[in-house]
Amino acid sequence: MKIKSLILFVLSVLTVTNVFTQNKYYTRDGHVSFFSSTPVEDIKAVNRNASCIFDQATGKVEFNVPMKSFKFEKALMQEHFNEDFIESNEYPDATFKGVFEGIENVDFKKEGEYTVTAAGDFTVHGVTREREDEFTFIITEDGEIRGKSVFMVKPADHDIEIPGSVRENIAKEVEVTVKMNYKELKR
Amino acid sequence: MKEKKTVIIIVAVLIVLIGGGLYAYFGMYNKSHRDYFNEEPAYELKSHELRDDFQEDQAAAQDKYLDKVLIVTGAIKKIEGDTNKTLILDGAACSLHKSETGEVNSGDQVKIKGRATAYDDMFGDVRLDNCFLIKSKP
Repeated sequence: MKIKSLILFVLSVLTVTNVFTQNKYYTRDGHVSFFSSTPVEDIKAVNRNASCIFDQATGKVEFNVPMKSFKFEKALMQEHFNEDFIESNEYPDATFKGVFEGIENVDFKKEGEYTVTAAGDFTVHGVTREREDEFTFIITEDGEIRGKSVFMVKPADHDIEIPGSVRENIAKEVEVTVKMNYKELKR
Repeated sequence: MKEKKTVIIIVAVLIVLIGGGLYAYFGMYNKSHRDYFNEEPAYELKSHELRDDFQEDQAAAQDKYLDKVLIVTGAIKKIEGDTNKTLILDGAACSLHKSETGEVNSGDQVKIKGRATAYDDMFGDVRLDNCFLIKSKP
């Protein structure tokens, strides 16, 4: 009887500790850049204010990108992007809510590159699309956890209308690059 | 003689118009980025009041604050960011402008001028970028 209650006690302590170590990782200065290439011109914009949280145990992940923080070389382009294309006063952020499928194969303690699939809802300009894209975790020698992904987005898929005057200047598909440097989330 | 004069006037007017047009076009094309440092702030408030406004009515708060230069005050809870230093106050995450290199520590009471960009519902913070520290007398 004594042993039984001891076991129960140990088990309950273990359960409680498990609940508290949630193994969540996050960043609030993630990089997101996009690149549009046409014969007329190349346009690049960089954002260093993206945030992300993911749960190592379940793979649940969320990204939030404040659209106004995209920096362009030309102020005029930045203005067009915010006012005419993305309408960032009305749709201030782009989000991704989903799961890293295959996260159980990532050894966060061991140096290496591990590719998972980010599957979920991607919302830009208020329009949500389901997506599945490759996402690579890079565990460095020093144990740092980085994440990287490159994928294509069609502005038309998110009801982003490009006016005729600049239609030749903006690609039908833009390349988006995501680079994250994660830290453990301590509550 | 009179006709010649008219032609000269028309040509002169055209030159001025075309020149002006080109100037305006290239001036616009190359216009400089917004000067957040010198812009008059639209509102001054405590960081948690800003968050409360977004949580109460996000649409109204977006209309009121987004893209505006604000002054927020509060204590630094945490300093984050490897490439873009971000000061976490109660209810606001303020990413410093790259030219802002002022020394700050967790716990400091600060006054920050920056531009509101979005509400981050994961962390429950209002995001500000292009932030500068305002040195205020104690």
